[in-house]
Amino acid sequence: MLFGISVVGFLLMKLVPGDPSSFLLGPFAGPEAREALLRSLGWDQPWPVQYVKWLGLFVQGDFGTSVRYQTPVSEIFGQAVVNSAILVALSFAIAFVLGFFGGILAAVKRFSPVDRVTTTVAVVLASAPVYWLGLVLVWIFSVRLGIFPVSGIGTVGAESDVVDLLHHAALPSVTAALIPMAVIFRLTRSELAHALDQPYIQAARARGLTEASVVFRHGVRNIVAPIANVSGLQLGFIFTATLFVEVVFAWPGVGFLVFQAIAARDIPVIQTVVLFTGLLFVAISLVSDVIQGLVDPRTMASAGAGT
Amino acid sequence: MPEGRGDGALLKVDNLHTHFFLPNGVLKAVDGMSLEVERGEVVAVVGESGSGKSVTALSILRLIPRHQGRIVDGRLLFKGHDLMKKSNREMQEIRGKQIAMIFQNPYAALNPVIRLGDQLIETARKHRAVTKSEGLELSLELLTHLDLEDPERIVRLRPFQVSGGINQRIMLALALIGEPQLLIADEATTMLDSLTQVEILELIDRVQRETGMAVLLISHDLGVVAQVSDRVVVMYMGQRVEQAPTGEILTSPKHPYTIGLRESAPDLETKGKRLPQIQGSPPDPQNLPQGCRFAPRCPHAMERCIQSSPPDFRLDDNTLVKCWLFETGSPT
Repeated sequence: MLFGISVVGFLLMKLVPGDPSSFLLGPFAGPEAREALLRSLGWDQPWPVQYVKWLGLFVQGDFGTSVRYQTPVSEIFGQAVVNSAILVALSFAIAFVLGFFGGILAAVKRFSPVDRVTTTVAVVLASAPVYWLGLVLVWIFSVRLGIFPVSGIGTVGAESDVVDLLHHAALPSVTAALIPMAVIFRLTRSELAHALDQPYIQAARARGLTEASVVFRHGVRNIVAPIANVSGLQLGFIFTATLFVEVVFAWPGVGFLVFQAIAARDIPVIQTVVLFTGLLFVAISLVSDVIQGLVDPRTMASAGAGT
Repeated sequence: MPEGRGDGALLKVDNLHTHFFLPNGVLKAVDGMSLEVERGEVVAVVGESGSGKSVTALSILRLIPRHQGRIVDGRLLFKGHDLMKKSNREMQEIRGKQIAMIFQNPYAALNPVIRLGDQLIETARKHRAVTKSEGLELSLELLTHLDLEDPERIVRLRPFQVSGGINQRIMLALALIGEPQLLIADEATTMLDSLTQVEILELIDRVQRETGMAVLLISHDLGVVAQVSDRVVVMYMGQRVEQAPTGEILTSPKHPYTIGLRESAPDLETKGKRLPQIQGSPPDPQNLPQGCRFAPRCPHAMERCIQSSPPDFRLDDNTLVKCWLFETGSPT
């Protein structure tokens, strides 16, 4: 699996027309200079040799040197991963907390104005494309209201601190969070509304248990598995959405890095990103399979069958 | 309105109307229902599916889901207090502690993901000032008393891991743990096989005699409830059509509907013969006849029955019939 990703990632780069020489040397360089550059990078050799060399170094932790910045890829990539992780974590926290608790509120207040408004908003958000949402948010909060900065990770020249970071992260993280939030909201609402209609909820009320206990202990407990499942999928969505969002908001994360690298044909950087992204997705599906196994499937099967 | 009985009753349901608001109209599930339960008395409510028995039970506990329907009229008096005037918090103190209820499907009425023991402990802690371990102790004692074998093992299981009979015993224990003065059993034996049915019924009967609590036994099966009840209230289309001591209902039913019910129940003498049945089918509950609701199916229907609905006629202290044939009795 990983081998396949590494080969495809490597070959794709070879298929793309153009190489970094034109970017580095400019339009007026002669063919001799180009030859010399390619030789210095080892790109004059046949591609299987290149592949084996590259993979050998990669496994040892040497990802090569960025053609554009002339610094080790590991340095650039490491900082980008940290920046992206901040964005992903913030987005997921926003999406999960608002979606889950909003869904509970809507299910408890079913058919009330609160429910109707939130459900309508959720449907609209869930159907909107990420880049459009990003632009709308920029227009409202940056252009019209001027509350949040449009781009970057920190105020230029200022001492970087957490408040400044969060201030800059607000728009990009909310943008990436809106759609997953809507998805989690809708699932929580419908699953909990269904659970609250079950006879065991009525029976719990008939025993005099408080509404809080009925909703959280008896209702929410029965929907943990589907919510956990979908939240995992949404985390995957946020990884993808973050790549776009970083470009829109110039957030120096992995997405922004690879975007610039592609423009510059900075092949070592692109290959590193592709392989690590592949690794990440393999790891995520492995972890989610393990979690699925841990949530006893028989418990959930009979939760459905008992109705 | 003079009433022979029920003024000091434990529970008095008076002219209850519970309606459901559906997209295509109003469903009058309970429409002028009355009944009384005295302290320590076992009253059976009998009627066919859709007659409003369960809705009456849920209305008493004020458990009709708000987005589906509501009690539009009537009074619910428990020990003289109007349940309709209680706040939700006050109702929580009454539910399970004063009036407990057990349900038709014990699998569905127990939470599938919570251990049986935890559901018992939770309820014990709500109604008795006990710790977790005391709650467990109390539950185990109660389960042993309800003839449950190996309760220590059972409380660690979840509802789908045990039989219907065991689940219904757990439901009964959940209802009894708050030491209620009234137990409502809504078709509590319907889903069980006939042997288990008898066991559960005998258990309810035994606990009733031990504790002196009152029981409201709801069933579509006259034969089942006749064994344990003192009095029977017969329901048809959301109303009480007859009320009489159990023996009288069995030997000399008055209302044509009760007679039909009685005759359609099998007994030893009818063996081998085709059972008589009540002609026709119940009217559309969203489009009820304006006169007596049983008139379209009644073999004795008169002009008057189609014109106007009969009041309750009192034949003696214990017997009420909602039928023009008994106009000689005094209307209440």
